[in-house]
Order: sequence, then C-alpha cells, then structure tokens
Amino acid sequence: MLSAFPFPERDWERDARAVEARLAEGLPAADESLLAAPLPSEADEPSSLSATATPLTNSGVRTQSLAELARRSVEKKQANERQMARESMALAAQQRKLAPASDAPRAAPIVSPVAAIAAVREGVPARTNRLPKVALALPALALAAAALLWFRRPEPAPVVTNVVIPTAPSPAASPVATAVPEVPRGIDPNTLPGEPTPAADPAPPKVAGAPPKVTGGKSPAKDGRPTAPNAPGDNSLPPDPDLRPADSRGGELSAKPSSGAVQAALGAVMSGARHCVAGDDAPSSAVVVFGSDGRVQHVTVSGAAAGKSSASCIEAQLSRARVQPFAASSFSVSATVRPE
Amino acid sequence: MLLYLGPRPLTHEVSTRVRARSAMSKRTDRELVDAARAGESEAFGTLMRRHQRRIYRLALHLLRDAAEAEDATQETFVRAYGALDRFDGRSEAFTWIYRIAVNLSLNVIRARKPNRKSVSTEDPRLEGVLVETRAGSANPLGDSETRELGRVLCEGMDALSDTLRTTLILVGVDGLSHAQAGEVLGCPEGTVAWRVHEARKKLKVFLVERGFAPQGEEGAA
Repeated sequence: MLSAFPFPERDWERDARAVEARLAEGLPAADESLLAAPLPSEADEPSSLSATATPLTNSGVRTQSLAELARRSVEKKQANERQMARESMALAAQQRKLAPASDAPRAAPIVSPVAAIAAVREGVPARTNRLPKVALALPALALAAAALLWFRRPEPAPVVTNVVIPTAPSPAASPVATAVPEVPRGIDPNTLPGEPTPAADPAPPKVAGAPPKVTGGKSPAKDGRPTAPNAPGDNSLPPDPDLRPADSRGGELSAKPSSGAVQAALGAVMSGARHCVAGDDAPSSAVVVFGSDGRVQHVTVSGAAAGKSSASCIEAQLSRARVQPFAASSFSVSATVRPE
Repeated sequence: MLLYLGPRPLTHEVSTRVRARSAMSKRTDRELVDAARAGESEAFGTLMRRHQRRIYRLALHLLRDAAEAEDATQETFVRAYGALDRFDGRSEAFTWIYRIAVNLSLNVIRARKPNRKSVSTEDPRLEGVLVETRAGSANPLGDSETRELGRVLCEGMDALSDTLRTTLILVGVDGLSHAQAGEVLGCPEGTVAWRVHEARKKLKVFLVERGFAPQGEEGAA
C-alpha cells in the first residue's frame, strides 16, 4: 500500500519554470546544514548499526567510520597477540609444573600454542603431554620469567608457533661444566627469589659471576624458601655489554633454549623483521634454526614474503637473534612476521 | 498573399531545441551535474525535471501539506543548484538532492507549531489514492476499504517518529533501496533496515488496533 501512493497531479513544467525563474533571480546563501545527515538515531536503535553520520559532500562519507573500524581492528589484533603470548607462557609454565623429570632430553615436537591453549581449556590433554617428562625447578622458572620481563620490548611478542619445553637438568647429571657458562646479563640479582640448587649443580644461576659452588642445600622449589646467596657481599655482576637471554642453570648447557629465551631473542629482532614486510597484506612465516652456539644458522621464509626481496630482509633481521648456547646440535622455531 | 520575410521558421528552432533536450535527457545524473557545473544552462533543468515529481512526493509525505511541499521542492532545487560545487560525486546525485529535500522538510516541521491538524479526507497524500480508486471502480466496498486503509496508514505514519517516518517514506513510498536511503540519511544499510522494520512493526500494530488485519509484509505497509 505504501508503494501505491501515486504522484500527485500537478503542472510539473510550471513548477520547473518557477524554479528556473528563481535561479535567475539569484542564489540564496549557502547553508551547510542542508548537506548534513538529517536525522538522529532512534532511542532504542542498536548502537552497532549506527555509523558516524557524515555529510555526503565532505571527503569522509564512509572513511571516518572505516578508519575507526580499522584502528579498532588493529588494536584488537595486537591485544589478541599479546594475550596469546601471555597464554602461551602461562601454558608453558603450567606444563613445566605438571611434567615429571626425565633422564634424557628429547626433541620437543612443534605444537601450535593456539591448539595447546584450546586443548588445555577443553580439558583435553594437549599434544605436548606426549613430550618427554621433564621438569624445571621453580627457581629456574622464576629466573626465566624474570629474564623475559627484563628483555620485554614495547611491540607485541612474536607469534612463536613452536612451544619450547626447556629441559631440566637431571639431579644425577654431572654437574661439571667445561667452562663457566655465561651468566645472565642485565639481571638484578635482588629480584631473583633464590638459587636453584640441585644437589650436584655447581653454579647457582642467580648470582652472575659467582664462582661455582656446591651448596648441597635444598632446592628452593622443595621447601619454598629461597636459599642464602653464595657468599656474603659477593653479588656483583661481571661486566658484559652483550645482552643474553637468561641461562637457567648457569653452569651447564641446557639441552635446548627455553621458550622464554627464544621469545626474548626473537622479540629483540622482530621489529626489524616487521619493517621488511611493511605494507604487505598477509603475514609471513619464518623457520629460524639456532645452532648449538646460540647463533642463527638458517632462516627459511614462507608466506607473503616468500620469493620477494623482503624475504632476504627478514632473513637478515632474524639472523641477528641470539640465545644461550645449548647442548643440542640445533634448535628450530617458527615465527610469524606480521606487517606493521 | 503574404511573404514571409522574418527569421528562420519557428519549426526549425523548435526541432533543434527538441533534439537538444532529447540528447540532454539521455545523460546520466552525474553527467548533468558536471554539465551544469561547466555552465550548460539546460543541464540542471533536465536534472530537475527528472526528479521533481519524486522530490515533491517525498516533501508531500513529510510535510502533509501541498503548499509547503511545493515550496520545499522549489527550495530544494534552488539550494541544490547553489551547492553543486560541493557535490563530490561520492553518492548519486539524486540521493544528494533527496538529502537536501529531507533537511528542508524537517526544518519546516520543526518550525511548525505543536498543534497539528489531524488527517482528513483532504489529506493531499490521499488524493491520488482516491482518484485511482474512484474511476471505473467495480468494487465500491473495496474502494472504500482502500481509502480508509490509506487514511489509517497516513495516521499511522504520522504517529511515527521523524526518523522512522522519513526512513519508511524513502524506502516504502519512494522505493529507494536501503543503500540509497542510507546515503540520503547518512547511516549504514543495517540502520535503514532496522528502522524500516521498526516502522513497519509499529504500523502493523497501529493497523491491527484499528481493525485492519495484517496481510503479510506488503499487505499494509
């Protein structure tokens, strides 16, 4: 019925000539309000349906609202990435607590943190439960977390698709290290809870530069009380300009770098890698292979940047990552490089 | 015997003008706007003649007064001509003109005194409905119901808010798409769809309360 309202009968030509006559007399003053969006929203109108009403004649008919939507989506994406990094760290910490110690470290299978988080949330044992049963002492975990906090960067953490399960030293393992390993740099020993002191561990990781010492004491993880420092007053850090990820045990090489160390290492170079793919529409992936010396041996780029000049740029940037030396011959990790 | 010593025969000028107008009428709205900006005198006239009926009907349904609708229509095209340089082409020309017409009509409504007269058989919106149902009618009762339905519909639309009523008129009466109505009103299609849905829902309730059974989506509205 609404559409059936007809056009009223009028002398349309007369009306048109009247308008033309008025135009010939002169134009009225401009009124910008006539070009603005006419009506307010209804009181109960859903807010999600309403867009910022902009005049048709300016350059922002849709762009203002689209710009806001784009900003919100970028912020949301960054927030999601940060949340995912936090959850993956929490998941790794949880798994370290749950997993029993194991004699021989074995290779950690590559597991997507998203799948692992989803599996844990659903109560389904993640694939990482099939990992070798290793455990870290709580102080070692705290040390890794402290190192991560120390090396945290403003940009979101890179999406590391490999969940790294650091191997813990066996209580019966030989504590002898061929050389005093490089101790954590840039860590304030006052922030650390105590020394991880497995029975045969000669070098407490807390105090950088302290001589290896067999304390014979209990691990803080067992009694919950931090142990006394190695020597009174002997808590100075040796000077070392290079920042290195924390070493969880100080004296001997771990089988593989910890996930926190890997994240910190990649996080330090990820901003440069992102510059390489600025303007790309889709993210790129990179498999970073660390050698036992902690340096990057090889970077393989796939995804949007594959086959382009930006791939070599990403390789150059990610190759600057460094982790602590480890016992395995190599260690590979996947990372996602998202355009800025 | 008379000798014709004057200028060329009028028929030639008329035919030339007719040909020019015919060519002008084949142009799109945007071409006419561009031509009007460039100074072609007849371009805007063609554009105006193309849309004046719809603009008048829109103003009539918004204002419910023939004289005010005529003034608003005239003012719309005068204002549109004066603002041609500010038309950036991001929308269709006719939605741009529609927006001016809606704004002018709403200004008139807001300037009115609160006491408005009720709908009567002299409602200009009903004029066309009555004329169409009067001539050669084979079903007087049906015509009477149609007229009464038209009257109640107009009452129901008058009871809506300006926002819902304007949206319903653009989409329901004038037949604009949701996208086009969104361009006129400066809101997204989803908002237009919601408003139309709300307006129709309220109209149906209004009609049912007055004894008109709903006849599906298009039965009453």
